Amino acid sequence: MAAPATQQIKIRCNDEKEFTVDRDVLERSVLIKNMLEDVTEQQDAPIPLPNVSGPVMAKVLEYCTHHRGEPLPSADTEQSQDETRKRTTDISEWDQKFITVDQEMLFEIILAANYLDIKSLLDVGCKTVANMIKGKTPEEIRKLFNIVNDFTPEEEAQIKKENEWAEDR
Amino acid sequence: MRGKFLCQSQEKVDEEIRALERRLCALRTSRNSFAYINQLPAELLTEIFLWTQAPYIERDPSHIIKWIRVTHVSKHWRSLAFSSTVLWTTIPTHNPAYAQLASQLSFPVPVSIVRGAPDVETPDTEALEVFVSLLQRTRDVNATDYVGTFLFEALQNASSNLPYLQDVEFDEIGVHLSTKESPFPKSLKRVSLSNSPLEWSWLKFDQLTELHLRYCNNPEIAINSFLDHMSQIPRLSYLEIRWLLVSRQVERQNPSHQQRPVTLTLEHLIIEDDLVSVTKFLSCVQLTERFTLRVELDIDDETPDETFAFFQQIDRHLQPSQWVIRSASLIRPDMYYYTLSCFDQNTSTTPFLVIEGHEIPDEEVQLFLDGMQTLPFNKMQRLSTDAFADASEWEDCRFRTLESIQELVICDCDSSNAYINFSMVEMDAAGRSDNVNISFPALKRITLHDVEYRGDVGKKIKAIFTGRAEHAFRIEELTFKGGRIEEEGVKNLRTVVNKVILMKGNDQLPL
Repeated sequence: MAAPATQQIKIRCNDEKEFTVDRDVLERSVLIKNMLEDVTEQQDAPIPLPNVSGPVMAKVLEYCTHHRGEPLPSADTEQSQDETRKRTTDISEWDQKFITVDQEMLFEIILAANYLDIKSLLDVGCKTVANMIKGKTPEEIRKLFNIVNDFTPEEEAQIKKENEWAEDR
Repeated sequence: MRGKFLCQSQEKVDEEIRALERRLCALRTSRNSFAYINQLPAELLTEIFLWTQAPYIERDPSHIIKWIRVTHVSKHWRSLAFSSTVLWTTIPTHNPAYAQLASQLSFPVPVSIVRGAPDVETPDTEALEVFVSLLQRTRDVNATDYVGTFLFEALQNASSNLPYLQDVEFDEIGVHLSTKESPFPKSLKRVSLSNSPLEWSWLKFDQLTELHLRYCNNPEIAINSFLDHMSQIPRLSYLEIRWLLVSRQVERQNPSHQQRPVTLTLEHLIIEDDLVSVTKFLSCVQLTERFTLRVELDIDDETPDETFAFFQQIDRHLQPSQWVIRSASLIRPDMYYYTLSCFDQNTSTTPFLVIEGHEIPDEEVQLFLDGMQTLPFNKMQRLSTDAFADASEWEDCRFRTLESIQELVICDCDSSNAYINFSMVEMDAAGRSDNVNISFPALKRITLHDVEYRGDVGKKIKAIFTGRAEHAFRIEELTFKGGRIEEEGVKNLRTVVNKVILMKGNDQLPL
């Protein structure tokens, strides 16, 4: 007997770009999974995703397709913030390649992962940014993210003091 | 008159300069708000900040003070970091200024007080007062020496109000628990005590899951009562005992106790002492079926018969799921060979998952390898040794395929001939090794200590891993610890090894 065909779901992004995707791939997103569970009847109308653009959704779907079938974190196993801190900043080789994008796309992916509630993708994005910051001086970090020093002279004086502690450890 | 006019004029200009500076700062702040990273909502930027702390938390929390640099990037970042309590909950003891700041900014969430950096002068007692106000919301304390003594006494004084305390670790504290009943909450989950007086009250936390006692003693605590107490901690899964006087006072007076050993439902037991003490200690306990036993013996003075009896007892009665011998092989590899030979692979029920053998003199390596061959290799998952000095020494190994071994830890590599060692793990498409006909088809992780990885040697080592990858025997994780490493060359390894970790001493370097 042939295996039942996977249900296909249509989604529409904020730039009107539409995708038709296997349900199990889309269900990597807790937001969409909950939406689908709330709808009892088969709907032909695409699910609107007003906070995600087509190009970003394409990247998110690439991630979800690669990780389809992997266990999703359930609410009761969700780690506390403290446990999160004990985890390693290591990122798998595939995820590293996937997330090697320009900064605009990187932050769009993080925002989309947050909106769509895809915890593992959000972690990959946040860890990537954290790894970019790691080991750099404030000036190097500013340069990296196109930020300028906006501290007042008084704040600079306080920062100088804090730097002395950090140097002394 | 003219002087007053000039001063007023200057003040007026100074005020204009200050106003312009404020305006410039405001413009810069406004400009920063358009940076991509600052489009993230506060909770996501905080999450990123938390991830930037992870390497410190993971490796050495005392260095977390360096993290403060992140708050020096811009006003927005600083304000966000200063309003996120969770970013200030790890507080080392060696820097009162940081402790003061973190104490304020972490309020009211629970905090961890961590041991100060060892290379930094510890603060005086007055400066430590800041920690007293923190104790009511302290979750973990790890301290040593007089800072440890100070905090220990402060915790005792605050004992009626320690609602969050779960984990205490003290080293070299010179004070005793003040009462027979511990002043710490019963809900304590983990106790670690080293080089300090051992009191009964340390053994009375019935919610404990981990207990570490290292080099502590109390002549009044005998093994009978010690073990009886252990059995009354139902959730205890991890017990570490190193050179306790109690482990040497193992003569059980009550014959009925001798017949009915105490059952400990442990998953991990680490015991370090002389052979006789360990043997007697183990004879007094029954352990759950799949526990991990790590024995660190000093068997210099023991006779082969005593050692043999010890290993036989372990094999027949305890059957640990993992078996780690350090000192036994360190000091007397001949004895290691002799004693391990008592594990008859046809009758032994001990599943050897882990074997360690280190610092074996060159002339004893063959004994070590011979000894290992008496073990059931078909279950072994991790092999940690420096006995790869010459692959040819494995030629007589009777197992040709070490199919279960997933992890190799190779110590004290001979740098000049390092690639010869690794030819052991070279594989062809059929899963055979060209050199000595031993193959490691399931090998996934390798840790190399003190290896030379540069120039021709590096190229030859890389060729071995490339070959494995081409034949679908790819290594997933390769760790270099110490040694002479050419970082660029190691980076190139990433094309054939999934993950490369470079460690200098205990510090992990980013690659």
